[in-house]
Parts: sequence; structure tokens; C-alpha cells
Amino acid sequence: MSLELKPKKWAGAIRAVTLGSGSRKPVTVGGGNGLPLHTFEGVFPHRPAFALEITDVDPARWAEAARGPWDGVLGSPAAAARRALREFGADLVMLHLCGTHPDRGNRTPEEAAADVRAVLDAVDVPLIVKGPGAGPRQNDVLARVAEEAKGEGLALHSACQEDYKTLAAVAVAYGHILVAESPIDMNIAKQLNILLADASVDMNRTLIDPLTGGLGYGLEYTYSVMERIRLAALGGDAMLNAPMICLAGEEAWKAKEAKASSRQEPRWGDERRRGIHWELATALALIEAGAEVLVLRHPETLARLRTQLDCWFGDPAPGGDSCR
Amino acid sequence: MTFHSVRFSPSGKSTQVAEGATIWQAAQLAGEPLRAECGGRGACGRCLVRILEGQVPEYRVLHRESGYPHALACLTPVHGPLTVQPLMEAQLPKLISGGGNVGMAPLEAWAPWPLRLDPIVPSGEEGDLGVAADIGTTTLRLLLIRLSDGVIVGEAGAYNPQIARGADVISRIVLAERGSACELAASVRGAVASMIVEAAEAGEADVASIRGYAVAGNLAMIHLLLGADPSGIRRVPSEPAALAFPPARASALGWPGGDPAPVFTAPAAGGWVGGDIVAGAARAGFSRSSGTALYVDLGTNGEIVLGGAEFALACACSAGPAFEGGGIRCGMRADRGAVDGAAIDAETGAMQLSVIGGGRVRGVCGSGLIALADELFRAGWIDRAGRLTDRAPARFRAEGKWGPAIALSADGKVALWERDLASLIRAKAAVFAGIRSLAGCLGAGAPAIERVIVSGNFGRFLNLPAALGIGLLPGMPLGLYSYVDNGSLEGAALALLSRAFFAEMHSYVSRMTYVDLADLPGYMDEFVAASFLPHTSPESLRLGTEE
Repeated sequence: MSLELKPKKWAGAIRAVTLGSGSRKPVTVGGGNGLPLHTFEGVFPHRPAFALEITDVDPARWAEAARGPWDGVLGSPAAAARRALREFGADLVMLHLCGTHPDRGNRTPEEAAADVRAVLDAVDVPLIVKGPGAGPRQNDVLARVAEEAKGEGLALHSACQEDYKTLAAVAVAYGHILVAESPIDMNIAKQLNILLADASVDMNRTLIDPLTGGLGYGLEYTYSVMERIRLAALGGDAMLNAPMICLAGEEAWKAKEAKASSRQEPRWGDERRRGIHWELATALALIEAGAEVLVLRHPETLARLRTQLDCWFGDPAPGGDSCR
Repeated sequence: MTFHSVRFSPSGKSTQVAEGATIWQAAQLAGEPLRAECGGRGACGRCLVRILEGQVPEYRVLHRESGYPHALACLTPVHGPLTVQPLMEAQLPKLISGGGNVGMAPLEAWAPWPLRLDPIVPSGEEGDLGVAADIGTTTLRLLLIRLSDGVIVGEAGAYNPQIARGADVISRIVLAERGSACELAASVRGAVASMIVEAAEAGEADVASIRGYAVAGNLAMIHLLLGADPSGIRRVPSEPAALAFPPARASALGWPGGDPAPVFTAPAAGGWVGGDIVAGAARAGFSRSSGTALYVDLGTNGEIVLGGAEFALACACSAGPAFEGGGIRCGMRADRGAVDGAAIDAETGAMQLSVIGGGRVRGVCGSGLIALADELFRAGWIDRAGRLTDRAPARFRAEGKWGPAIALSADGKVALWERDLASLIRAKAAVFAGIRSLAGCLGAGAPAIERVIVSGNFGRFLNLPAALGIGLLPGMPLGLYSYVDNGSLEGAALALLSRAFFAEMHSYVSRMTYVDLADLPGYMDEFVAASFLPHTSPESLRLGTEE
């Protein structure tokens, strides 16, 4: 007896959002019209894209295992960006301006803009820029950065419901993508997108960061919220159909299970392999939930995710990233 | 033990209190009217006093004005002789509306189906009277009704004097637990007794002819009135002493009437859906309703009944005091000087306010808040999250220690703050999420809602298009909506005059299912979705037409 699959046709599709413009080689994400990885019933013109996280100052809190591959370039964003691209094969780079936080270096918006300029000069891929966290400082820093990188199509991370107006205006004025962050809540994700749309932000130039927890730290909660966002989007909800970005690396490497050294936890095994597995498991789950942009820390996670994507989508066609 | 004298200015009342007692306790002893709506927890700020003479502990001084320290009476201990001056208006404002019910026959005006005059208490004589009362958390209302022909001969309204000790139900239950149960019972019984006298005097009736009472109220108020222990109501799971009480004797409550004049109370459906709601739903004809109807009582608690003749679901959602002007910086009851409506011309940026009694703007009442929010939203002065936008003209913008606001008076002292709008949005979200959750309990095959009855303090003052505009009530055709001014009082009057109605109230409550929203996992989700203007997914405002 043969089994006949009846492909589900959805009313809606995910918006295709192109990161990078001007001097960047653009990367487009989203555009699928089926549930994540349901390649048997939907068309997915773009695979999930992988970004590696680099920082403006030496990220002292990073686990040893996550620092290893970046030895010598931590705190040198331009050199780190080159390595991310040439050695590690990232599609994108996320520059985390953690040093602009008043308690972690207090670097000025001018210094941040110089860092962004240096990375833009060093690589030609699109850039995600993450500020120090919601608040007046983030607005100052990202506004200056946006001005410096006018027309380069940065993804500015991130606007939230309590404080979105400045970044919405800045993104529109300087031609950038805006990442809309919500606290693992589908309704707030939608509310923020509505507010952004009302503030004249083009919905084709936003990404949703649904906020995630690492494996073991609420990942399943994020998973179901992402799943609901995706179901709503495919059902035709125009305020929830932006592609989703997840900071998988940051969250995974926060977990004690990822960062504890083998000396601290001898029974947990080799810390390098353990950390990478933790990040990998987190990222895979998020891809299954619908993440289109994954920000990672360890290049080996990225390499292994690529292998997995090839299994799911088939070998990449030469000269294009079309999945089917 | 050391005693200190505490004198109140300008009343001149004074008393002696033991070392360490609070100024609030001194005020109680001295008979100085001082309010503490939070129940004396230092939260409401109503008992603020100026220390004219004497010393109070420095850590209790909130600020100084012209050299005089200001402190909260409920928290400040007396360690020496003091002279203090209360700073907030202590007297409750007089209730505006008398109701205008005198001369009416409830059985003709309010009966949802034909009812025969058959009073709940035996009445033989021509001048026999009965009393129907609504014991609300905020207001008390009663009707004095001639039993022989069912005509209202007198009426009275007053604020529940328990307000002075705690504005909301929970704080009163807590007070009762802490030993003030007798005091709370006495104050409400006394207030009703004097209202009876007032109503009888106006109607030239003799209180000795009162043969019986029918009372409706929320379950906590009924517990406090009858002297039952209300502490179980606020626990989880809610375990009231009783949902339906046997008749009490009027004389035991200190109420007038020929002995034994029984006091009947309307039965409750659950801890937070009391006899006031059951009476209101019965008054609205739920027990004989052919289709599905929705009853929404808007107050501090939003109570919702959804159902028809066969069954009903009932729930209560905690809306907070925003609908009554509470918890709003410039909120007030619907009294002289309260903004009760607004019109904005988005083109010219002109805002016109309608003020109760005309004259100077003193604050915003609940119905005004809804009308104002809807108008601000439609004019684009606030965004869908309730925050001011750049389109709000500069001359109406105010900025203060509570953040940005829309100025309502020329000097900017009366203003609607963003956080007031946030309170309103939370309140309306709580109610609408309750409605959606009850509708969700009915499941996919739920019949469409055929009519909506709105009751509560607003009564017919609620601006219905505005309430629909902000997403407080489902977006159904206005023609499906109707008002019941005071379902609780009207239901009590019908129960007084008709045994059949009273019996039907009791049989209907057995067909009502009490839904505790805290048990519904989807409620929070509905609440967040509704915390937006008018709703995160406006199509959800149309109930029963999706999924």
C-alpha cells in the first residue's frame, strides 16, 4: 500500500528580507511558504543564513572553548570579521558592541561608529550590529552607527516595545533593517511590528527576534512561540511574517553545561566538544522552529550546521542558494 | 505605659494614644474622619497629614512644605504630643444621582418576563413595605417598595462607609481577618439603616411597616454584612463560607421592621461571581433567553456571564479601579468637574472636553477615561500601545515626574498620563480577555452571541462606541447592546416582589458554571493580546465569527 502525502497549502508566506546593500554583497533570507524544513510541501528559496558573533572589546565572559578559535583577534573586530569570513565561512557577521555598555567599557558612539567602519572596510558581507541593550545608550550608539553606515543595509539589533521610536526613525532614515525583539511572546512580537509599521518602517525590512533561551533554559518555550508565530504568518498574518533571527550562540554559551570547564565538572566530558554540542543542539532546534538567521559563536558549530543543512536541502546548487 | 495627646487641626478633635500607636489610630479614637483606602498599608496616600507641632520619626517624613513635615498617618507612630492637619479630602463626595425610581413599579419596568405580584414576605396590610438593596463595594443603593401594589415609595444611595478602611474587596477581607470584621459589619449595617430612614422620610413612610428585605451584593460584601468569615474567598481555591445564605433577621442587623422581618440574599455562583451578578443576569432574562447572551458588569472586578436558558458560564476578572477613576493620577468618580467625554479635531488639533456640571476640570471619571482614550487613539495622538505620538500637539503635551501626559486643564495640573492609559489598557484587556476566554470555553460549535447586556457603575453613561473602539467590549453591532442600570438592585427588587423570580434566581444559579480564569492557561495569552488598542488582532474582537 502506498502512502500519498497531501501537501498543505498555506494562505501566506514568509517575507524575503535582503540584508546588506550599497557596498555589501546582499544576503536574502526568508521567502518560504511552508513550515520550516517541510521541503515536501513548500518552496524555500533561501536557506537559513549563519552569522558569527564578533565583539568590539575582548569578551571576557566568553567561555574558554568559545574564545579558542578567535585567539589573537578578540577585541579587534576588523580582524575577527576577516577570520569569520575567510577561515570560518560565515554568511554574515554580527558585531556586538558590548563595550559601549556603561559598565563594560563605556565606549562612545563615535568609537562604535569607527569599529563598524573598520568591519565594513574589512569584509563585504552584510553586517548585523547589536547594541549594548535597550535604553538611551543603545539608541545613541545605534543611531550614530546607522548614520556612519548609511545605505549599507545593516541589521540593527534591536528595537523593543518600550523603546522603538528612535531606532525606527533611524532605520528608515539611513536605509537599514530593524530587528524587532520581543520577550518570547507572540502577541508582543506582533504588537511591536504593528507599532513599527505605524512608524513607517517597511515590513520588508524587519526581522523578528523572538528571544531565545539556550538548550535547557527555556528553549522549548521559545520553540513553541516561534512555531505559533510561523503558523500565524503562514495563515496570512502580515504583521508576523518577517523572518526570524536567533542569537543561538550567545544563549547556548550562557548555559553552565556549555561553559563549565572539565576541571570544574570532570564527569561532563571535554568542555570544547560539550560547548559546541550545546550550541549545535540549540541552533538545530531553532532552525526547526523557523529561524532564518542564526548568530553563532563557535565556527565548528557553523560548519556542522552547514553539513546538516546539506542533508536537509540537498547539496547547494553551484552559483546559487536555491534549495529546490 | 506612656500616653501622648494628638490633636487634629482645624477640627480641634483630640485624643490620647499609647506610645507607638499610629496617627491613624489616634484619628479613629478622636473621631477625625481620615481615609485609608488601602486599609492602612501606606499605599493609597489618602491619610497624608501635615505635622504642625511635635516630632515624628524622620524616616516617616515623606517631604516638607514650608518647614512642616508631611507623613502618612497610617504608618507614622506617635512618640510625643502632636498637632496634625489632614491634607486630603476626607469626606466622600455626595452621590450625584438619586436614581429617579420613585413612583415606578419594578414588575412593570424591569421584569424580563411577565411576573405576578407575589411578595417574598407575607404582606397583609395596606402600608406594608419591603426593601431591596444592592450592597456594592463602592456604593450602596436601596429602594423602599410598597408591597401591596409594588410601587417604589422611596430610595437612597450612599457610598459604602467601608471605603474609608479599604477601597477594594481584598483589603476589606484582609481587615476582617485581622479582627475588624465586626467594625466593618457595623459600618455597612449602620449606613443601610440610615439610608432606610432617609428613604422612608422622603416617601413619608413608616419604617416599622417594613416586612422584609431582598439584598444583592458581591459575595465578600454579603459575608461582611451578615458577619460570616470572608477569608476563604480570597484563598486558592476560593472557599467562601457559603454561596447562598439562609434568611437573616433584620433586627439582628440593626435594621428596622416588624419582627421577624427576614433579610433574603441573592445566591452567588462562585467566590468572585456574587449574588449581584446572579440577580443581574436573572433581571436581564438569562434564564428565559432563547439564544446565547453576554452580561458584562464593569467595575473594579469585571464580571461576565455567557449563556442562555440551559446553562451559563460566569467568571470574574480583576480589572482594577481604572473604570471608577481609581489608580488614575487625575481620576475621580463621576462628579462635578469630571471629564466625561472628549472630541478631538485631528485636522486642527483642537480638543474639546465635556465636563460634568460644566466649569473647571478637576479630573477624569471612568466613562470619560474610555471616551478620552478612544478619541486620542482615533486622532493618532496616542499609538496602539497607548503612548503619546508626535502628532499630539505641543500645547496639549505635559511632562512631569510620571512621564509624558496629555494636559486636560490649561495649567496642566489635570492631565492624563501615559501610565494612566496603561492602567486603562490593562483594565480593558482583563475584561476582554475574560470574555474571549469564556467564549473559548464554549468551544468551536458555540452559538453566536445574540445580545450583550452591560451593567455596572457606568450604567448608561458608558460611551458604547468608545468602549468598542478601544476593544473593551466585543465589536458587535451596536443594536445588540443594551444597558441595565443596576442589575443587582433591579434583580433584588424583582426578587422582593416575586417569589417566582427569587426561586428562578436560585434554580438558575445551579445551572451556572463558575470559571476561575486563573485555571485557564490561555487567559494570560488573551490578556497580552488584548493589551493593545484596540487589540493585537482586531479580528478577534468579533466573537464567535472565527475559528
